[in-house]
Amino acid sequence: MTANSMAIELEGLSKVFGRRKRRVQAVNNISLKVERGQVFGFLGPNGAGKTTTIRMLLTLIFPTQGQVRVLGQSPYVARDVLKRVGAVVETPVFYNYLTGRQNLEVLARTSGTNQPARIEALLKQVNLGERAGQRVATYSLGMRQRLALAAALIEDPDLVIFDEPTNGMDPAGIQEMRGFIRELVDVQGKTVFLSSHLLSEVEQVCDRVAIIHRGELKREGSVAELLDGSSRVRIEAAPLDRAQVILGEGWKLTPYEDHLLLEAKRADVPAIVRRLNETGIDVFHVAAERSSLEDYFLSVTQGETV
Amino acid sequence: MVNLFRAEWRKIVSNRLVVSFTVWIFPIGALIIYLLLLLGVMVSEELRSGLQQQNVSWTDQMNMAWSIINNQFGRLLLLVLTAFIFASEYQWGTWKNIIPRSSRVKLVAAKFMALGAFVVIAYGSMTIVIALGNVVSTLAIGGTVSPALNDGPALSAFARDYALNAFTALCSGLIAACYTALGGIWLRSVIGGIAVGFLLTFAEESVLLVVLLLRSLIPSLSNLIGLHQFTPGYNLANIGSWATREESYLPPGLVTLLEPRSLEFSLVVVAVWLVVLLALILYLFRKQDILG
Repeated sequence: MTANSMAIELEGLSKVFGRRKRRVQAVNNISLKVERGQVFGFLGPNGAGKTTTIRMLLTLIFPTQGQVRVLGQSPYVARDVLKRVGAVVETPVFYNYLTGRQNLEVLARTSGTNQPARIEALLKQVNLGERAGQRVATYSLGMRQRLALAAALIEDPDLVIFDEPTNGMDPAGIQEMRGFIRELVDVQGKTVFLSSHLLSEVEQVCDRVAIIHRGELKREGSVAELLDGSSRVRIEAAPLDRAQVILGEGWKLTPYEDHLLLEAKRADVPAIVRRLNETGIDVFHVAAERSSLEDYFLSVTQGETV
Repeated sequence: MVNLFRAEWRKIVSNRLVVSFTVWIFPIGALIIYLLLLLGVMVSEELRSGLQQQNVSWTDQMNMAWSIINNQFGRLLLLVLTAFIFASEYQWGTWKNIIPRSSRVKLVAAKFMALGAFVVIAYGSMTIVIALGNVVSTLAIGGTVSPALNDGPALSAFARDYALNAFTALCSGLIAACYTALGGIWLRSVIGGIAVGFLLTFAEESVLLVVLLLRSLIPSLSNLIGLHQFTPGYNLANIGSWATREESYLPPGLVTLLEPRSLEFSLVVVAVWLVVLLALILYLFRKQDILG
């Protein structure tokens, strides 16, 4: 892969806030590459450093150490590269006393352009056409999210960064958003960098995922790769307490009232069954279960919720 | 830059509350005062004769109007408008939308341009209303409009004085606006910006008092009084004095203590103040993490 095929490259990126006793290491030595033309999920519990990283990508926050490259260029050196980036950072905020349309006009002009036709098309695309002439103060959070989406797309960017894009959206809106994100990548050829607390959403929409915890990158890979090594095996056997002792020697397990749940791959099943048979334990049911991204995420972050 | 300026313009002009009380209040206030005056003239013989005796020319009134920018009322409204323009983006959390779209230097420049445009509109339109009001009220009481609108030399002298008054008032306003912008960006707050603007303006005006006090307490520090001549306030007064009377300005009572300063000296000092303040604002803003 050449540098230009990367939408985002982070090298040893760190950010420290405050000094001495107030020193907080928000992001610690993160290195990451996001290829173009994919949806990349960025996961982590609250305070993990996701938004700080996104803000460093957009030059809102200055890194303490490390390099940021967006679409092959450092936004701190060649800041025009950010004209090819659209972003929604955290809760969408606008000038409440302006209408939705006026807000988009202001943002377009801030980028140095004036695109009334594109603004109208985007307002229709995000289903705000009828409310575009009303002040944003009257908008619900879901409507603001949709307006933020339109704002991010004004300049027809190559890279779109979404920070919790479905916050405040109803289930239909979330479904619609998921389709929209895939369309941006699959049809329009854009790259989407997405941070979300909805792990099942990320699992469904992302091609690759990175998990960040306490400012450090814990895992990175495709959803399939990450889950490949973390499937579970459900075992119903008798006596269950003896099975627990025997299997506990070889695998990490969680006992339940009538079954055991082992952290093991499907390939381990024959060995598990053999081990139980050798020790005279009756096996009633063995099933390999695929972990969800949520299970995987919780195991990586030691149970801290997002 | 034109688009950026228009974006700032839209943000300010659409906030009717702020723009009404900091911009439109000047021409509308002047209009209301003259309408009330005309009403008074129609019903009160006493007022009519009082106005006839005063006979203030419309040119003098237009020139004097610019001094409102330096009085407490005008200064407060200027600080409020400046703080709104620079610091409200922090309070609304909207910097995160606009910083990725343009360079921080251009954003600050556009804000100063928009502020300047609104101040010029506020005071320019107010002086026009004042001139028209003066002419109409003069005619209403049967007086003579002076100077006459076809008096070429008088109008030419007026144009020069008007430009000078506007220039010194705008320079003074710009320095106060810089204090406020600096405070607003540093404290990330509208109220903080206004407070810092007031504090620094007050501190600047107090320099003379402080050095006089120090001089009376410690006579060996008598040279300190010269510090006053490095403040924007002194130098703007000095520029005005050179332009109108062609002589240096020395505050009353301090004629023997201060040395006269040239026009060039004052122009350089004011320029240095503006450059340093603008550089400080840009330095602070360019290094600032936008967290909200």
